[in-house]
Amino acid sequence: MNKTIKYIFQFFLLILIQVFVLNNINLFGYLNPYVYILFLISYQFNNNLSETIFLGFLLGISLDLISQSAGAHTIACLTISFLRPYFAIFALRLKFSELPKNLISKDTRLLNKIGFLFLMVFIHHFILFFIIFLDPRSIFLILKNTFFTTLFSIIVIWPILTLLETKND
Amino acid sequence: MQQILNILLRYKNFLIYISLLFFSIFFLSKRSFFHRSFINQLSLGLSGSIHLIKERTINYFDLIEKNKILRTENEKLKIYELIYQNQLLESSDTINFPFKTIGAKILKNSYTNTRNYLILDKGFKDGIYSEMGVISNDGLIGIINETTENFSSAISILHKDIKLNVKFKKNLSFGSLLWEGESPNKMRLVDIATINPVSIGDTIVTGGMSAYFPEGIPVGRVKSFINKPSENYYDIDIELFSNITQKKYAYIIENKTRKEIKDLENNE
Repeated sequence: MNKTIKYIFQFFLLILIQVFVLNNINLFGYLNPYVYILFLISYQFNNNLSETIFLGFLLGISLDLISQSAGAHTIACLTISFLRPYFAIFALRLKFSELPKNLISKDTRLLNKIGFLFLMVFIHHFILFFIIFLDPRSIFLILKNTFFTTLFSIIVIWPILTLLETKND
Repeated sequence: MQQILNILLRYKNFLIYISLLFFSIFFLSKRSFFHRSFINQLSLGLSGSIHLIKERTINYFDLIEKNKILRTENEKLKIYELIYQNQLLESSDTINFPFKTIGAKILKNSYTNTRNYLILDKGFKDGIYSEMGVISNDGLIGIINETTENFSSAISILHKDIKLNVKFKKNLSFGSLLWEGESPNKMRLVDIATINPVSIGDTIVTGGMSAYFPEGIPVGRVKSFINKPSENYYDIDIELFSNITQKKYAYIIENKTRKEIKDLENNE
């Protein structure tokens, strides 16, 4: 119960911070870190993937509705929430059944954590920019934006993630 | 039923993902004009190509019917071509052009013997009688020999005993075209008197001396000729325009005035 409240709180806090603070940074004119996916990164791994997919969808659509964007966040969040377990087993070299309940903890090796984080952020940003531009001819622009924004997002997400880290129980 | 349910449960997450994805795309297309037009373009391209495939498939099964329609149309057009070719030579009466074409399919076509025959899929039921001319889209084929109710056989122009009345397009000097059994596109033109000038490449057309073919159908061109000093006639090798060995369809020519001509010939 305690955990649920924590997640709900996290969910709304991240959206609010994203919309009212981070979307207005515009570093170098166009860079905004998308930190709200921290929710999907730090969310627990239980065996209920459907729940995660719904949460990802809700997260994306809330952001789209509040920030008046078209729908790119919804598709990007939905996709990474669906692919999240696959990223985890790929980054941690584990089987599905061996996934820890809480991946972001002191027990997980640093390199694995960074791998998982990078996959989540990069794929999310790539889908996001791909849908925003939706033009095969601007693929270089999409990749450039994806790359720099990924860098920026990871720089912002990493310290917060370290703060959130808990001991795996 | 149980199995379907099991499969559904197994891929539950994927199905949830896909349905939510569709909803998101719908949501996206509702909110952004740019994305909507992109999705519309995509769906237009998709439905366009699907319809193209469908159209092609239907077209394929339609081919027999289409072929039939084209053949009847060609039959009608062929008569105009014959009239036109006839008019090139002399101003003849278009309305009283005495020939009519009947399209037919070649069922059997030989060209390796010295006396070759064809079998066509039209018989006296279709108004075919012996001694009608048979032409292809670009040349002569033969003369009807015998008919049954549904089929007819024709003597190919590649027949040792047949002589065709032909003439030069340029000066109307006429002679006889015959086949000596060499290659199917080579014939011999005889009986051209040496007082007529001949040069290589001259076009040979059908002459109007027989009732089989209308005047003026292009037959072939002069390939080489020999002028023997002791004789008064040329030996001319003709190269045919059409390749009889590859014909699938033919037009049988009905001469409406043939009976009259025949009667006159018999009276002589």
